[in-house]
Amino acid sequence: MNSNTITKAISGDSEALSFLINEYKDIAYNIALGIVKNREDAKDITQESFLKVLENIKGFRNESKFTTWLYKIVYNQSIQFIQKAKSTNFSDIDSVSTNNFFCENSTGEDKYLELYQTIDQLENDERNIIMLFYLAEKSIKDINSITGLSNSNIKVILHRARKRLYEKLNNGL
Amino acid sequence: MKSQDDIIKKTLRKEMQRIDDDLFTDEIIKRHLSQKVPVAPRPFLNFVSMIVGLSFTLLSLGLILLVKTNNRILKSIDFSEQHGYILFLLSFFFLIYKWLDDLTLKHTLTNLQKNVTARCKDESD
Repeated sequence: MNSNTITKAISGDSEALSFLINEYKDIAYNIALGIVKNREDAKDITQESFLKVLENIKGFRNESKFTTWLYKIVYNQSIQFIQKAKSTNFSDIDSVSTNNFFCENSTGEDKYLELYQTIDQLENDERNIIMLFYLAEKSIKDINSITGLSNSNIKVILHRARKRLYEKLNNGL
Repeated sequence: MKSQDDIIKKTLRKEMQRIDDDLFTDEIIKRHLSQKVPVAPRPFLNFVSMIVGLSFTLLSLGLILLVKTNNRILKSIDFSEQHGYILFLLSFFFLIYKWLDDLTLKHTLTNLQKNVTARCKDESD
């Protein structure tokens, strides 16, 4: 994505706005899904996050990457949703948190399905950081900006998660 | 390590969940464009106009009262009661004119906003 697309989006160009949404909606959705663990809620959060981005895009000054800004909004919205859900006790969030959630729709034919299941079974913070690091291709510094976790904390979590995934890879894939 | 990282990356890319709703993007654009732009509420009458108009109205009323009490200074400059009434009417008309002016401007802005919102909706459809 070039800055021209952002400039067009800032000026209200519908095509540029559509492009931005289509380009990043799936990654944003997966970040939300990893936190709230409910497809409909994750979809709503993704939609609200994009609306928030479009609402404030005129104030975007390229000081940070567009995606870092977007994922930070998605991450914060998801965390807020979880906190709200926990305080009102209306959701079964805790009960689904350990399910093999991401793998529900997988065909089972993929040779890397086992690895994906391992990612799915990681601790919440480990999975979030793996998602941001590998899927969203964010640096430690960007992850720090998105999650608010310290750089050293991110490195420790990333190291722990990677170790488990590497072991899985070395043991049979 | 590098190849293992690549495998993790590929796995996530391949297996990640996708939003299969075709209308997802359109819905966001539509909602974004239909959001009303808030217009700052305008005062009933411009503050400066109100101060100027009211000051002259009160001044003219004061002058009329002074003429009625046979004030020497006003008599020496040939200021009659009629002059006072003329000044009173002028400042009164000034207030009315400014009020109508602000009212028309408010309507124009509201219509302009409606037109822009309607045009945005048409474009998004």
